[in-house]
Amino acid sequence: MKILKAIDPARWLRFIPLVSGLALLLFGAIFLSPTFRAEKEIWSSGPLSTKHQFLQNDCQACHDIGFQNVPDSKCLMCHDLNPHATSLEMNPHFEAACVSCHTEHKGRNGTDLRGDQSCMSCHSSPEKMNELKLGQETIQVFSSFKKHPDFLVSNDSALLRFNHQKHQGQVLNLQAEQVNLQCLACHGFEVDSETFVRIEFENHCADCHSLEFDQAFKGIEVPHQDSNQVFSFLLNHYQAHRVSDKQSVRRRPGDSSTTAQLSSKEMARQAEKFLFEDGACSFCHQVERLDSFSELNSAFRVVKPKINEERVESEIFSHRTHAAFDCSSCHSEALTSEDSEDFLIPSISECGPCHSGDSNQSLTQNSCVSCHSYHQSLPLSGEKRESLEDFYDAY
Amino acid sequence: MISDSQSFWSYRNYFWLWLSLSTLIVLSLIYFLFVPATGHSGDSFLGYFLGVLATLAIFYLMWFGIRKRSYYTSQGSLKSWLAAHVWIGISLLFVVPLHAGFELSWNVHSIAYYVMVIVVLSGIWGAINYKNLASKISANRGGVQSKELLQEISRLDNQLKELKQNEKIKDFIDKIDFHFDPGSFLRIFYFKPENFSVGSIKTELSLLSETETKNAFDVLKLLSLKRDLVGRWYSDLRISFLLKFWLLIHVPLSFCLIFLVLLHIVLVFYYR
Repeated sequence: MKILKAIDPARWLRFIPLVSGLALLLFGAIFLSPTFRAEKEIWSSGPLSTKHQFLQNDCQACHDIGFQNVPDSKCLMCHDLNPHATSLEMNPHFEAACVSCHTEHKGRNGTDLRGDQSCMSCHSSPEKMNELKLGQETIQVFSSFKKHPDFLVSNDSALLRFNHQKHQGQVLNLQAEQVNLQCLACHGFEVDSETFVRIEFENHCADCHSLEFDQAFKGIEVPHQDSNQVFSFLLNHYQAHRVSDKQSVRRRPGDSSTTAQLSSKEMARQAEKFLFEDGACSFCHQVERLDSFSELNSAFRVVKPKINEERVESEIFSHRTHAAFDCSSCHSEALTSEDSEDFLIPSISECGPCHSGDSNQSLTQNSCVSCHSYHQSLPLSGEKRESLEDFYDAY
Repeated sequence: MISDSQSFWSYRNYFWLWLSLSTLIVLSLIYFLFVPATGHSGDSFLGYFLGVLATLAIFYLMWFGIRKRSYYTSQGSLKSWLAAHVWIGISLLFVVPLHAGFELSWNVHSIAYYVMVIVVLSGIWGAINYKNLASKISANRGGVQSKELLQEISRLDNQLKELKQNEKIKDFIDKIDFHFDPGSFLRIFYFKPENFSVGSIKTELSLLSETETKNAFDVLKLLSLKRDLVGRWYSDLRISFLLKFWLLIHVPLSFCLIFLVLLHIVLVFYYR
């Protein structure tokens, strides 16, 4: 009967307290063992984002004081904030900490915002907007770009006169050669293949558009600069040529130099009038004649045009990621536009076919922050960059 | 332990199943309809709610161990408690991942869930065993106590021993008898009475005289009885084993689970 007792299942249940105690001790021992304690990842609630990987064995780098949220000051040790974020920080109604939107321990892209709820929690509620003193205008959650309001056109009053239609295909340059103009001839990419090369007269227009000012001086052009600089160029030019003329002719006493200067001034004024009123400048620019001007300054003022500047505010659009498409597949109106006031940015409905659906699941980015920046992270300032590099080196 | 043990699953028309299931459906709907800005996780509003819910549920389930032992109580019938224990325990398998936003990996937080899974699975195993085996145990014993089965077997062995006084019968018995070890743990799983057939005994029988042959047939009769009784003995052990042994996993790991849950709670609030 002795053997019997050993296998009687009812007897085994007497070991439950013992086994429980041993199991608890085992778990406790495992967790308190030095190897286990050193393995910080095991204690972490999830993997850190890729950018913070180097901190994964240094809990104290962010978690300073127990039972408290990671303070903004910890983030600001490395990250700089742009003015938008700073102003929100100063708003007494805005108490959100960095970590309330940028959560960590959620995998590779953990700190990135997910979904639109962050924005919508305020922007869809008039009361909340009012409370934050941001006005009462609200927006809705957009499941597709069809419901998104169209781009707001910033109405430029000062434009350059420009006809897109005439600047395409075969044109003649100053040497009377045939040139084939494509979009990229003017709208070329910078080396980062993201931003566009700034359009400059010298690089983009001068091959075809001459700035000659006097039939007598063929081949000589005024610089494409401020009207006063143009005038002083003209003044210098005519003075110089008057002087060089006089060098050939013997100078006689009583020959007043002032008459020579007056006439060079007159010449300059004439040439200036030709450029700014009848010819080269006013062909493209809006030019104003000034009521009063000093003797050495130009009588005209060119309204500074806005070229190649951001026309849609707060947008983040990457031309590089859309480089697979023809320019005209979005900017189709550029082919027929005759007026520079034409708004050549496509309607937002053109974005819809690709950018729609659930922003969490779609392959293309559809969330608010894919286009609108809340507070762009700034490049790190020199001092912080150095200290961060030291930090990296230590790991 | 529990009378009418088969019906606790379906107690009051599966009241606790429907309650758990509808709670799960409501929680899942909330989960999929209200996605927090920072994604689902234990520290969202829903995450905290589910975390508190699951913790309370675990303590309630542990309370069953105390309720089970208090015989004089007004806390409702034990069967009702068992039904709740089973269905709430199973639904925890789904509530906890909802709490965690399905983010599980290898860390002290996730380990609490894995241990809970083992606890629940061992519980399901135990509950299925109750359903299938509790009725079989008395049928197997055939109205006698398990001790009596053993006494019967030793009585048969004694009778065989008496018959062994004859040399030839002793040889005969030695050839076809089998050794019975009441404490063999492995045999409770693989002993099958039908596997113990006597085989060909023609030659052995031809060597015996008439009286000896009569005794030989008595031996065969006794052996066949012994074989069946041994089979029932092992079945009895096997059923008792299956009915009780899982508790040795279920209960100790439940205590570990409490420890791990508390550790998890302290850690997540310490490193916020």
